[in-house]
Amino acid sequence: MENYRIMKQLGQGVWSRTYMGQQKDTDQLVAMKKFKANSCDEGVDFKALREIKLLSYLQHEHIIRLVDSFATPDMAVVLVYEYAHTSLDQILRNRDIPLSSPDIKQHIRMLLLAMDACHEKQILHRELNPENMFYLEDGTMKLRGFDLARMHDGKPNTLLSPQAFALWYKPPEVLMRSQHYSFSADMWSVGCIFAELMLRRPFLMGQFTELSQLDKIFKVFGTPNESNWPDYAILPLAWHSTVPVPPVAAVSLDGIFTAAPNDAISLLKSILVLDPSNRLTASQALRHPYFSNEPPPTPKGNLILSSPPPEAN
Amino acid sequence: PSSSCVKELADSQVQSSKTAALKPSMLVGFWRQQMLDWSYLVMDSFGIDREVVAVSFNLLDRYVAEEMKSPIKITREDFQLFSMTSLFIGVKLLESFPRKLTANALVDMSRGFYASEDIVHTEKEILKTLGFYLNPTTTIGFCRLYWDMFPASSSSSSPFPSFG
Repeated sequence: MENYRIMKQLGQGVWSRTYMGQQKDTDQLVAMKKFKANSCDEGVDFKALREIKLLSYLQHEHIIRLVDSFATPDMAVVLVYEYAHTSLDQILRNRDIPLSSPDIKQHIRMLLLAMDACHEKQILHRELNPENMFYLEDGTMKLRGFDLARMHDGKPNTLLSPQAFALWYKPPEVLMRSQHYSFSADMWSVGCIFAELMLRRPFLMGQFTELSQLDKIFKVFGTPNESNWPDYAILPLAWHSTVPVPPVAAVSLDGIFTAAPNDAISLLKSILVLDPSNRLTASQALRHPYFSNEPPPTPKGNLILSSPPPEAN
Repeated sequence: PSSSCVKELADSQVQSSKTAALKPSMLVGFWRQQMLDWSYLVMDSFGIDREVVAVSFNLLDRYVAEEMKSPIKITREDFQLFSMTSLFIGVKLLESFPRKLTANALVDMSRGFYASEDIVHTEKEILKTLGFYLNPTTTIGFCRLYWDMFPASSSSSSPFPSFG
């Protein structure tokens, strides 16, 4: 702790507080996450240990860099990250920031590169949303929020918690309480973020409950059946009345994303698929013609990340 | 489930009196073997994946290697505490429900020889000494990676069936 100067508190979670700080020797800005010391006798918070383990394993241009980690005398663990200036959430909400098609292409490209790096190393992120996409000053996107991430090695008896994922980005199989979901679950969230970039508002906004979220999904993609999702019937919640009767047909995404180019819609349609086994993987998505077609993605240094300062008159 | 583990641990302590004549480095090797056997017993009786032992003993070996550089000799009691704590860290890293093996359960298995504060303190020492490098490769981890390189001709031949 003595190597850092704490400047201000940035946020507070259930298990941790985040601060903006400065490394005393180098004046480098950092974000510091302090996991609350456990009141019980269980020592260091296991979520902190896992995040440290995953981040040091996952060193990549588009994944937040862990600068340092240490334990304070009172048993709290502090994770020190490189400092990011803004998040995609802040960019989307700031109406003074224009988002052109080439900009969108760059944002989603950087997310897919990060996702590909995670999945290649068998890591499920499980909490993708615009609030976890951070940006350095030079426009580089850095994925963060690895609190819920875990190694997924495909062992048959590994159960995964359906509690992960933020509601609007939660894939249908997880909403239906599957405990055997996989990397395709993260891809659903990627699809939701891609849609959100084009619409400039969250795409599937369920109201507080998972049932309402499922309902939103089915209204767009149709109710699951033997042809669009052959395995859905074995999911735990398929037996309850989660699937609306009578069945609803899928709506065409072209009608929703009227301003988007065809190749973008084609990519979106291949990612947002009810049946997890039919979703593109991150590396397949990166090879989609959308990324080689004109216009090329905006160079990341040219992305606008904050509103221009008011003109001095 | 821990009663047999308690007995095993006590037995290994008795046996250690026979090893008084061994050289220090051989002594550590002997303790290590005992704690390894004991750790597998604990993992099995708590229903925890044995891969945890592989990870824990990597942490343990690296930590003990550092400790042996210091002039203070490691005692049997130290070694036992280090290995129990490594197991405690390994469970946190790998087990889906880390509360399966609590510090208190470890204290019980040592018949109160160590306090949970000892384990919590040692945990911090180990993490600090290892510089928070917590990603050892294990044999089974290597096999999984290697397996993935085989062409997936039919999913039924995979030892790790996928559930979609």
